[in-house]
Amino acid sequence: MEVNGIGSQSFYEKITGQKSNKKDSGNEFYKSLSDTMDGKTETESEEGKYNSPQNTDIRSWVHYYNISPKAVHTIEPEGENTVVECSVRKITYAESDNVKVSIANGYVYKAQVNADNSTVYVEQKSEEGTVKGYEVELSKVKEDTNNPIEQMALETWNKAGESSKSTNNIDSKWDEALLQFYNFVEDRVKNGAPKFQVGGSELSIDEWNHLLEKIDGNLDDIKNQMAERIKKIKESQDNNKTDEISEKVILELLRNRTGNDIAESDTAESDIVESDTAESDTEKAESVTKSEKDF
Amino acid sequence: MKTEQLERYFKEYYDLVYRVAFAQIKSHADTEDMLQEVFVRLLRYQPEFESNEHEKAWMIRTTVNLCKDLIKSKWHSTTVNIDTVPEEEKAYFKVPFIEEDDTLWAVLELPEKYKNCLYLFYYEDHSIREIAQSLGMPENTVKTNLRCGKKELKNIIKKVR
Repeated sequence: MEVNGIGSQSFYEKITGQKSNKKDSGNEFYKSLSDTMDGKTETESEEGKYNSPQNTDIRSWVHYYNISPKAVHTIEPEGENTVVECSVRKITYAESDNVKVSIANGYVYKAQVNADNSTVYVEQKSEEGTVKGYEVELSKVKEDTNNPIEQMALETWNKAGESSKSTNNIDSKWDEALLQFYNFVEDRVKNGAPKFQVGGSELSIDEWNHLLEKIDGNLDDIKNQMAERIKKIKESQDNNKTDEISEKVILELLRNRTGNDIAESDTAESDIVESDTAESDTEKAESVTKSEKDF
Repeated sequence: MKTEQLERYFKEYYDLVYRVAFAQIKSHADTEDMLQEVFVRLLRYQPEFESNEHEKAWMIRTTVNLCKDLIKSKWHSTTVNIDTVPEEEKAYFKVPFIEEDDTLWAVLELPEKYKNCLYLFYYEDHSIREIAQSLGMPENTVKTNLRCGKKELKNIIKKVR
């Protein structure tokens, strides 16, 4: 019995052991589907860019059927994620196995290896002040990944074995620094602030600054005094000018108000002046005649 | 203050104070003097700290303020150029846990307000709140300084290249 050819085909496959052609029919279905949607697949299949997905990995369908990654993310089972957001542990630089600073992108990545379950904890701090923590499962990370968090995790994993911290060196460094500081304090208490040679004398930085401030202060005082002097001289000159001007103005006003009286007084004054000049002329003439006679 | 306590402060903050001071002064000798000065202040005033955060903030703030005083002083301003880190001084400045690159030196060339925020955030792993506390400025100002500093840094790096 044959119903639409299904029964006979599957039976034939069972006997010959050949693979089912279901996938191909599936491909055709997807092609025709996408053809109807945007008509892209024909050209893509010609170029051989995208082969139809032969496995069940849903991510490989992203390119082939032009499905948005967001949509895939929602379909994808949780176990497939390589990077999982987790609670922030607030690890310091000293606690982390690798630190990467990216000022251009405004991020700091800190990573810490967890060797027990081969995961790497990556902490991302942004310039906005937000901190996020991620757990990266290394077994699932591809080496050529473009994800910065995955890259950081890989880098940290490779680095972790190399680093070894020597505590002895650090301790000796502290002791040296402490000894230096104690000596410094002792010296400071005994001799005061450190001094240096300036010309014939020794001065500390504070004394030097004080000296310079004094000199500057003196210079400023001299400048101010000079400026005040110049001001005073100018003011006195201006006062003289204003006195002359005011005298003239008063005289003119007086002339205008009591024109006749002043005019008379003026003529009287001029008469006096004329008589004075006449007297002086006669005196001069007499002195000249006397000197001629002496000759 | 007991000797043990002073030693604890010394061990905990010696490197941090050195790096913060060097970022400002850019000279090993001056930085060492500054370091001594900060610990002398600690001995002299013996402040009571409420928490580790407060302790750290006091150290950074005192260092930054003392460095500012030194930079402003007549002696320093007339004798030392502090725009760039001299090549011979670079060997003295090492940030732990982070690989050294040109970006670090470019950060140290930034104007003070950007430099301190960027340096503490990226190289000393301080949070925005801690920076605000240490430098005595609002958190939003720190965020703005981080953004603007990043732009300025890009310009400096472009010029160098």
